[in-house]
Amino acid sequence: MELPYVTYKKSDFIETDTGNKISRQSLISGSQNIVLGGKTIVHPHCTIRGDLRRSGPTHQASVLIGRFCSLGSYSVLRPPYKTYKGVFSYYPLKVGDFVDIGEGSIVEAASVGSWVKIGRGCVVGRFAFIKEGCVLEDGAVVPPGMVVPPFSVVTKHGVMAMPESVQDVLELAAKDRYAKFVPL
Amino acid sequence: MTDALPPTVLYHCPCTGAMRHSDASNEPVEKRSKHSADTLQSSLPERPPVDSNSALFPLRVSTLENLYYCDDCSSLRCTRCVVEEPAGYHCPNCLFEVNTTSVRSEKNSCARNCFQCPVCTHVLSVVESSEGERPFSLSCTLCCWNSREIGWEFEKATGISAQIERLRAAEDAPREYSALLDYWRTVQRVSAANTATAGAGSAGAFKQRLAVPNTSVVPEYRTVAGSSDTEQARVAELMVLDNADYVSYASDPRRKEPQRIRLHMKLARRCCSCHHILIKPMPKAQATQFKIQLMAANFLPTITLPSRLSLKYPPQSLEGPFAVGRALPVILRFANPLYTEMKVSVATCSPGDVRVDVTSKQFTLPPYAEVWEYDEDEEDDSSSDSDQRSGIVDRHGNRVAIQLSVTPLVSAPNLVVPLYITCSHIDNIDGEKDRSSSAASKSSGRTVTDSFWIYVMLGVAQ
Repeated sequence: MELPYVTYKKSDFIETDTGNKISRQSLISGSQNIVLGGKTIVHPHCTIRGDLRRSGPTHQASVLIGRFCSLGSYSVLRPPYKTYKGVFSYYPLKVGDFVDIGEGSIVEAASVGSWVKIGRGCVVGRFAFIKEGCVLEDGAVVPPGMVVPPFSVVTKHGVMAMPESVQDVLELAAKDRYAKFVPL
Repeated sequence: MTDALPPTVLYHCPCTGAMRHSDASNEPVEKRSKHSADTLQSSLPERPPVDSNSALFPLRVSTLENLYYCDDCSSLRCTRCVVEEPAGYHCPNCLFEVNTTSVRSEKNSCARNCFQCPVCTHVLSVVESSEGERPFSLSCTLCCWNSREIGWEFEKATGISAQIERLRAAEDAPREYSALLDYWRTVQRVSAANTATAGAGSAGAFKQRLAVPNTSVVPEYRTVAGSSDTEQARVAELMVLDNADYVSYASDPRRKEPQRIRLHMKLARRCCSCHHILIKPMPKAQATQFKIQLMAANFLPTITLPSRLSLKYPPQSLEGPFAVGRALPVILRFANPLYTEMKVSVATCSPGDVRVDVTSKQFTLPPYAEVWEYDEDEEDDSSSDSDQRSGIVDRHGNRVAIQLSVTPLVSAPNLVVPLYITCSHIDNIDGEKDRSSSAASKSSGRTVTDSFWIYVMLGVAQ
């Protein structure tokens, strides 16, 4: 079954020049520190904490999101933090292209590669690295500091390999999802 | 069970799952592929190759993205009928590549700082505490286990495995293990020299490898370290079944030891019948490209059940259960992945529990062009009256949607529609250069015909 069309009220979403569609009901803090690559959908009640950034005058963005991503409703994107040599600091959260973050998932990873699907209700711990072409099943938990190697699927039973076509499948799905997200 | 799944389209792989199959199931497909698409209607098999109620059904069918395509044999290949071979090893945690010789000497584990927590199997990280001569230890960020509990403390933060090897060099078990390893290597070498090395891949050679090697020439193994009495007593205690309920495995100190992380392997895949390479990954652990990637989705039409053709059309609802005896319209969408035009014919046979009527038995799929991806709002409304009569409900870019009429005849937990798809295209071997020249050179192109079964899984019929 192909993805269904999803319609929204035009007044509920802000559309940027690069084609990002951001719900007015999302909670975005520190928007000057957030970079959206374009054609990314931010669903209602999604939280992006761009205000959690390294203290001091840095020009580095704290949340970087690529193209054709989808941030599900009630999901939380929060840059990771750690105390290094006695200094508490936040570090940037990087998300690649064609990433789908499911409803209610919490992402505190250091980096999420391109072609990644994070299911519903997942928790990605601090400084986790999710490499390219990975799938996190619904409810999967990635502990802090874990590296999910490229082309793997994280299930409740552990990490397994994905078929080689995962990049094409997720890229097509991401483009299809954006094309089918249409105003009423 | 299966009825909970959303409606989907599954592709049938003609293999039997055996590595060296008897070609019995494969041959008809190859023979058929020599015919042209027009004569194919007559050579339609009488019934689908596998019954959807059979227990083997899930093994024989798969979604398109899990299938490979051998362009030498012009045949579908599934994960069970490809030969896998290693194409590089790496640690899944630090993504450091390991060459084949090191894999053996490092016992197939990461030789750097990657260790698994003995309690929760998470990766341990090196932590530093300010006091002491050996300030470093391994700590789990998930369950807070620390290697100080078993007395593992290190002087340096790097090369932890080497430091552990040094710590454990004096222990009995590793010494015994390496002595055993040496012994069996000698046995292997001696027995290999004795037997003639006939065809490494033959069945005879495999039987020889399974057989217990002849150890008579090599002196009997003598234990190096000698088994300790406490160990034997512990094993004897565990072996008594009467107190099996009270045996605490956690009391075994060995179980609390972090293990080095096992290496991962990148796989190359070959066709099982012609050994043509289907998948060849880049050797680098971080690289995500493939040198060769022959996936079925890049050769065969993608067949999907659209939820809605476009916003102009009402949504297609395939919510079960379907009424027995009532015709159900089902829209199937075909998409051409190739840069050449593709002729498709759809045939069906009635398996008895469902009647399928296909109006558009033959149609042409326009070639795939990347520019179409950008004209999303511009609808080319070319579904003409002749299309309507021939059962084609929508055309857009490289995609054509056709309508079937499915009538379930008996109630079934899963309504399955088998369809026999034949598609053919002209494979222009010389590529672009030829296409622009005269029609004469066009005819030199090879006509490639693929035929395969698909199973449209719909849901409950009652």
